Amino acid sequence: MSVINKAKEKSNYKARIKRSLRRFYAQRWLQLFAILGFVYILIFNYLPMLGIQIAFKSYKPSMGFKGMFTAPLARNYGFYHFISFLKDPNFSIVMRNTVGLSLMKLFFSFPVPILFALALNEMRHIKIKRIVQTVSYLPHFISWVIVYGILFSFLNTSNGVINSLLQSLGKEKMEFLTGKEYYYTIAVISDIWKEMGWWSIIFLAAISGIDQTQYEAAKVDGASRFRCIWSITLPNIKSTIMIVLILAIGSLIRGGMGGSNFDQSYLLGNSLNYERSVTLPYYVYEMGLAQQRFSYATAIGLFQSVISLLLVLISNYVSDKLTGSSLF
Amino acid sequence: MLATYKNKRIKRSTEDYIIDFVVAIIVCFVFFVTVYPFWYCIVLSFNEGTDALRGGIYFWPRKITLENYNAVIGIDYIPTAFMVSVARTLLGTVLCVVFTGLFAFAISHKKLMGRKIYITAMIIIMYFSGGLIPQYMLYKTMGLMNSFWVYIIPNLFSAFNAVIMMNAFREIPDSLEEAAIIDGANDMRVFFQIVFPISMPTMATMALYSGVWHWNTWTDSAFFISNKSLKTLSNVMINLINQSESAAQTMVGNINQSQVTYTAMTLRPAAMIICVIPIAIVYPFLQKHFVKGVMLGSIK
Amino acid sequence: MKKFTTLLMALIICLFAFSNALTQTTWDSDNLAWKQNKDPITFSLYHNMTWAPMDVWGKDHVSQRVTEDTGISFDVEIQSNAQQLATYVAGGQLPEAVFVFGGANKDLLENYDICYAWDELIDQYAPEMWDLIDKSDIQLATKSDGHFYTLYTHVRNQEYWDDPGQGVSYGENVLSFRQDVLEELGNPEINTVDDLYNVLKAAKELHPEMVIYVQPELNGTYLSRCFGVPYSGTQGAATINDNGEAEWVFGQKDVLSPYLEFANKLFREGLLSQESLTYDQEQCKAAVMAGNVFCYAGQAYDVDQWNKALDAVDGNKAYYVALRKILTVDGELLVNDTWGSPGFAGFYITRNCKEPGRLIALMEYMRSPYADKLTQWGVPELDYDMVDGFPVQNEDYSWKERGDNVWYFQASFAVENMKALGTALKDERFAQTAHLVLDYKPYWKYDVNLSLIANAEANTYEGDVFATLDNLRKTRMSSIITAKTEEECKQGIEEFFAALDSAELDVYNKFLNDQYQAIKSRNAE
Repeated sequence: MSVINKAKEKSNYKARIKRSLRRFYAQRWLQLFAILGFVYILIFNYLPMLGIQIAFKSYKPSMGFKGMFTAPLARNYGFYHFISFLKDPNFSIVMRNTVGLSLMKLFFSFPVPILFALALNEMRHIKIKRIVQTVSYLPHFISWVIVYGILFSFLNTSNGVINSLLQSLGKEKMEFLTGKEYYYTIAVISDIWKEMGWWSIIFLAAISGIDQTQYEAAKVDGASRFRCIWSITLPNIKSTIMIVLILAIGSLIRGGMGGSNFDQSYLLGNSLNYERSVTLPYYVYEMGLAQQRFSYATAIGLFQSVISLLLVLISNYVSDKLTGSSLF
Repeated sequence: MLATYKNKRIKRSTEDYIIDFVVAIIVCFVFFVTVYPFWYCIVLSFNEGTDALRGGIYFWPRKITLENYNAVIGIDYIPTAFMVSVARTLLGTVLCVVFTGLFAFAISHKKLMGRKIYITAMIIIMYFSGGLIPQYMLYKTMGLMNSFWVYIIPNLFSAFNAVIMMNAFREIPDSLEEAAIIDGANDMRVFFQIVFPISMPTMATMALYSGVWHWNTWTDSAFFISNKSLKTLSNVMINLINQSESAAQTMVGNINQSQVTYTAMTLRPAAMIICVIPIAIVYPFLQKHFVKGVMLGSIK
Repeated sequence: MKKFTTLLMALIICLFAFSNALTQTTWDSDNLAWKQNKDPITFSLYHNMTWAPMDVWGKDHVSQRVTEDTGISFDVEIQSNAQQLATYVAGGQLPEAVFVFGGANKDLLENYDICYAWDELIDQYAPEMWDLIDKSDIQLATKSDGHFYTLYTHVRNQEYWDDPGQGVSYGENVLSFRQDVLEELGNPEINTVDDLYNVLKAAKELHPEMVIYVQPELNGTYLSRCFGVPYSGTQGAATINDNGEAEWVFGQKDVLSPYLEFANKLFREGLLSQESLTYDQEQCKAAVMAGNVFCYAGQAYDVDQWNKALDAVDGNKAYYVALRKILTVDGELLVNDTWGSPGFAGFYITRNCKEPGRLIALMEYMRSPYADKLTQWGVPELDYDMVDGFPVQNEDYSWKERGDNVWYFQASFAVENMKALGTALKDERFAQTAHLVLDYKPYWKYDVNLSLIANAEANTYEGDVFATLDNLRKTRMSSIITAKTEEECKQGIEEFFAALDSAELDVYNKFLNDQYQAIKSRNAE
């Protein structure tokens, strides 16, 4: 009996392989595209990932490239750098600022591009619409260095406009640039301003792909414009919204839609508002790369990567369950 | 869009007025808030450096001068740097969009074998990186160091773009593809002749994002290229800006600082504007793809 | 016979002395290595003097003259980014020559596997150079492995300190006051920190709309120096405490606290501008240029430069006069500045260099007084004229065309100072620097042992400790100064030093002291 079963299994097995091969052949072009990309990222992304091992070693630049492999294991079974980071006096403020700022940016900056895309979509004058849309992404090109320069010109206490106005009204000057209490606000607002127009492009593109016949049908049924937005436009771009949201959550640590935490900490942050301005990406630079401490920087970078990946996986799962659309 | 269907005779309801009003407010606010800082940069770039430090310039330059632009254009290698940037942006963007697009197209098919593996591999690289030094060795081994191709080859694939494109392709109804395949097209033709044109808004957006990235990125030029005639415009600009920043870091002080009449404050806007102009010129051509909208019905 | 023998001996001695004099190497000798080979050759060079407008060799007077004299040219790369050098080292991408300043960069390069040791190169290619180099310069640059990988530029040695005509760096931190407001206040004497407090207060009452005192981050150490906090050119700096031990400058609570409390008092009374604590050079200049700053802490050279810039503005009344002394605290002069003379930048010949012999010969050329002046002043008669023994720049050529102060691979401090003094001589109104550098010299002590203490190397345990300590210093001190009440300030000070202790300050102090004691006993022999 078992011999016959085994023979059946064997022929099943063979049949399965044959079927798989046939399937593969049927999608050979697609497989070609996919494999090309896969091999590419193996070479250009996974191979360099070997460098992550220095997070567990005591690496010095003078050891050269070979040193990445031959450097001695760091203290505490290789976890010395991670422990250093946890014991750092600034650890708690770094994490608090990163999480706080990033959540605020997500909460406030994420809806704005969508709302703006919807608003633009409702405009009637095509010429003005195009002009406004073009102009809206300009801040994206103004590098953070210049944004800081502009903010400095306007907010400083010696000759800034805002403070001069306050003084002439008889009020006290406000230390916008160095006061701890202002940093979060300035950071979030400037992030929204800078990225809104740019990110709205994705949503505009999604909106423009919506089938016009849906709108025609709705209008015939007497739907109001607001109804159209709510029931047609939004659901149709739902998957785009969710994908962008998941990606945004994944880059939560980097901050906002465009990863602004680093630049803001670097430029808008200073020794006086440090307690509110230092974020993880900047900390990696300040305590790691800027001091040639490659191992330390890689260790914290690894920490950051793991958290980001976890966030993506979680938000992907939740999005799948709630809205049915997900990354994968 | 809705506008093309507007019957001029139809009465405008209160709702229309409200929505129009709200939209107008939003749009005006956005316009001012985004245009003014840009205008401010233009004004600064035409103002004399040391004078700008005194502050008080808001709508028009106080001491008009072209010295900032002269300083920028006067750098050796600017023409070559410009050409290099243009070349890498054009070539890099096209290749990236096509290469990434093909991959995204493939993985957007639910029935693709090994799909989960490909996607997982792609997601992981968005968050994990080995850093600069391994890249160094890789490029050195591949002979990309100090070569124009270091701008193109390592940037053929963009995971972010792949995700967005994958999503866009998934939205396309399967019936379209199936119809084409029945008509005898293979996947390659399906991609280029059907999927690509239909998702033009998304493709245009990806081209824009990728193009702007190529145009602005400077770290690869700084780290991997030492040959001056291969440096990109963005790198040259960063060097210029570094140069005019104060030398306060040194212990010896900077005896010659006074002879430099432009300051970082006015130089940066000038450099930025020069870098933005080409993009501003190209943008309208791409814009029509995602603002106008495509009539899907006709394709059927 | 005797007469003859004596004559003969005298003759022989004379001949011997004469021939010795002939073979004694001088800067004009014919047997100098760089004169032997003037074939054109090009090396790749990396430097981080990012403020210089010359990023190419051979387009300016100085580099052209150097190539004419030696045949050497360079393919230059300027730093774009502070991590570049470390990445080049790690990736094996260093060019043939590197000319950089900065302790971390020097640590990176001074390694037998990375760069050639000069002592070996000199032995091999230019042995006559040993006669030409000052022993103290070699001593300064010698590492623990016994080799030296460069000789630093702008070194200040005993000879310099003994020369009364030489002043301190014109980057010296000074306090400058608006002359017109001082006159309104009756030109008060400012000798102690309390005098300073009173003057600032009076100015605020007279001119409440003005920004009274601007103290930027980088150049604001004048006040702390009054309290005995040593000027720390490099943040790892050490100082000697009462027990003769070396310890970190910022770990001395009894010295730092009075300063922090005084600065906090100034802040609480609205005399110190909070924002200014974060200013960099350009922002400080912007504040001064805006025209309503009463007093600012800056570099000596800035006083003249910014006065000149202000002078060019229409309707300007502001002219700043710098204080020519250090203030006393409670009747005592506490200033405790020790200058070692670690030098500024170093020229390194990396192991990637194909012909190190030519480069060491170039260094020999660069050390000569002729090249020293050439690379720091410009081409004689073309770029400058001598006035009263000081070089005055010819205004016809821009800095970019002249090319001075970039290719100064073996520059000396004395020559650089002369140029600063020469520039200051052009107009008496803008020549305060010339006086200041001499006024402040008496406040400095010279201790070569202190200067030989090396920084904690990155990626070592002490290096990690130091990174944490330095970060605490940078982030906490300004918060203490800007505390809203006196209690908050005192509490902040306590917490700061407690944090330093738990960040293992003792480990770092031990590291410094061990080195110091070893160097002291080594040099005592």
